[in-house]
Amino acid sequence: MSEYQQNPGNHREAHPSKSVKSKLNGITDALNKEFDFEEIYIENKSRVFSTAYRFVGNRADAEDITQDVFVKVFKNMKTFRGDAAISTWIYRITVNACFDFLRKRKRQYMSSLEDCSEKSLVSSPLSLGKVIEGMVTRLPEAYRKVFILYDIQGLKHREIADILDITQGASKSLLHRARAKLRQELSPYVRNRHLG
Amino acid sequence: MKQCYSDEILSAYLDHDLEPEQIEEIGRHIEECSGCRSALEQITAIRDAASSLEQLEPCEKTWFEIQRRVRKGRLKRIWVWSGVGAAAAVVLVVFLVRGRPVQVPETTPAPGRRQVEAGLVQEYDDYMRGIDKAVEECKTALSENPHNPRVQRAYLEARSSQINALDVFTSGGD
Amino acid sequence: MLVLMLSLFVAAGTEVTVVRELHSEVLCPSGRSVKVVHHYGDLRISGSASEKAKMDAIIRVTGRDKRSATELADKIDIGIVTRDETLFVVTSYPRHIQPCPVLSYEVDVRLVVPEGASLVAHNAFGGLMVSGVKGGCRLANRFGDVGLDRCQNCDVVSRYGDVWVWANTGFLLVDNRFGNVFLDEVTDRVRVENRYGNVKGTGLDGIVYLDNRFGDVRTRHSRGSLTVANHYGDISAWVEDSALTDLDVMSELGRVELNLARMVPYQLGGRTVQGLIRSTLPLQVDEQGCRVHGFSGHGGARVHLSGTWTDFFIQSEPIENADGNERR
Repeated sequence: MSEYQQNPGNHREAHPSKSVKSKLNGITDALNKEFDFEEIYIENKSRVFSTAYRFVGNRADAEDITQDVFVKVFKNMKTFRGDAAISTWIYRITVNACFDFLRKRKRQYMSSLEDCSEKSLVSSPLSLGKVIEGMVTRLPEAYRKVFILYDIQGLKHREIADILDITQGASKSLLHRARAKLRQELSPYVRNRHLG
Repeated sequence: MKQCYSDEILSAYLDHDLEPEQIEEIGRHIEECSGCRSALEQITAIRDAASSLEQLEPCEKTWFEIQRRVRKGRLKRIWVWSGVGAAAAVVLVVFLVRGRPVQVPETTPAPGRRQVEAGLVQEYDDYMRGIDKAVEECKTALSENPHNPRVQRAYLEARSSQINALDVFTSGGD
Repeated sequence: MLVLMLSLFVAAGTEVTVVRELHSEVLCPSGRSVKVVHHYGDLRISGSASEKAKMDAIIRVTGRDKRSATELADKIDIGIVTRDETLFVVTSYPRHIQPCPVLSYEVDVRLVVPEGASLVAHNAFGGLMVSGVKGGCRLANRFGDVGLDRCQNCDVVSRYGDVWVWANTGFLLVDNRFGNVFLDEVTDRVRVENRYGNVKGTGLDGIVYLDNRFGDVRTRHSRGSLTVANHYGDISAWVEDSALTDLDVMSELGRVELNLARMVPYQLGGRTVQGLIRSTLPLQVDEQGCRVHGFSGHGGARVHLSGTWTDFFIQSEPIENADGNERR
């Protein structure tokens, strides 16, 4: 009771003081960072996951790569200079993460098409898209990057040049070679299934 | 008839990545050459099939796992508000809980940014309204009882709270 | 009604303080309602076995000179009127007071009422303390603390001050903003809604629900069924009494420290969304750190945790901070 008697009308504790100001700002900053990150994730998750999936050919590894990419994004959010679109930056991290992953595994992932010989392709009920999805993983690294980013992800050569640090001309050249390679690989399929 | 074109050239033709005269020339050739026409059709089919592949979504667990990894090693993260106590008044939000709190259903997502921001604005308004009201009441009391120490103390505390709250939210950090 | 008057003069610099006392006593049979309206000064009300209401007040007026201070002190009155089975005690100040920069006045009132009286009391710019009133209390206070001691069935609305409650029985409802709430040995049905302050409860028993925002909640030695819902603040709760049957902890945007005392049985389950659960006890925490369950001994408290944007720390001893003090 004595405390009560000594402090009538006291509501000092109820109000923010200077001493908590920095804490409040810290909270706001931290929350903003969390929320910015969540927003970045929501906006980019399917790009990252789809790209990773097309590189490695299976969901489980694509999930792992997606995690790696966003953890890296979070850690480097402060250092992102903003002189490129954030999606370009994230694509760059994604492509690098995919090849780091593949190098670590020291083998190419074949996913659903790992067992798909050309014979099986001819009689396969898979759509051309699914067949391409699997065949892409057999493409040489440089072709694969450009084909996935341009034909599947729909990026422009200018963006791909930024992401892969190559010229737009090189991007175009790699794309055409990738398509040629794929046609070569897929000719039995496309001839039989699609073009008669 | 001219010599047939390579797949790379046909692919470039498909994307109009060639000089206008080349495009015209290849176009004429394709009309006459069934082999190149077929190759172009196949390249077109590959391109179209690739571009029609769906964008895939990672599973929900991926996000939780990312958060777990992000938070690992920095458990302090946003919980620096430990000790802020009443002063935290100004900052965030939540749902009004009336009655016994409802257990969080399995499918309930955590409040996202928009929810939290909307709540933040509301709570900040409420807090400021409360402080503003305190200031006004104290002013009225001071006009009729100017030297009363309780009123003076209440007024000073309310004013300093008002100033601090505004300061915190307008300074953007120390 | 008996009224005694006493005037004193205290000179301090150019100011003069006049003190006047008022005393009165009226019949107030038990079961009657008592309504008190006061401001500028402390109001203390206690219940007694007597069937009389007794009022003692001290009026203090500080003014530029003795004459003006005395004049004002004489005009301040505390009216005690019985109307429709209700005893009204109302402090009244003159409507038009001569403006003066050094002017200050306040009245401290002590009121004794029958303990079975039903009490309604309002105060502002002063403390409001009630003890031993069993007929029910509805209290409202602004710019001052509220204290409740051994009362029954109380409803408190408070702004810009703390609320202290000791050994209340029956129901207790507290609606407080811009202040803290302290509960000690409060039993039966308790519901606290607090904002912009902390809540601390010790020895709570019965069906207790604490809802707080923007502050911390701390409970110790709880018994019965306790629910703590806190938003944007920390929770520290203990399971340390075998008479605690249920503990529900709901946290949003905060951090929860749950302390499970050794040798006290419990069954625990919970989950957090956008947060982590850590435990130093042999509980089952899933890989993501989002779900937990486990038990100790047979029966015991059913502990349920749910959080969003919340981390949980479950342990058998409180976490020590760098200073070696128990964390707030």
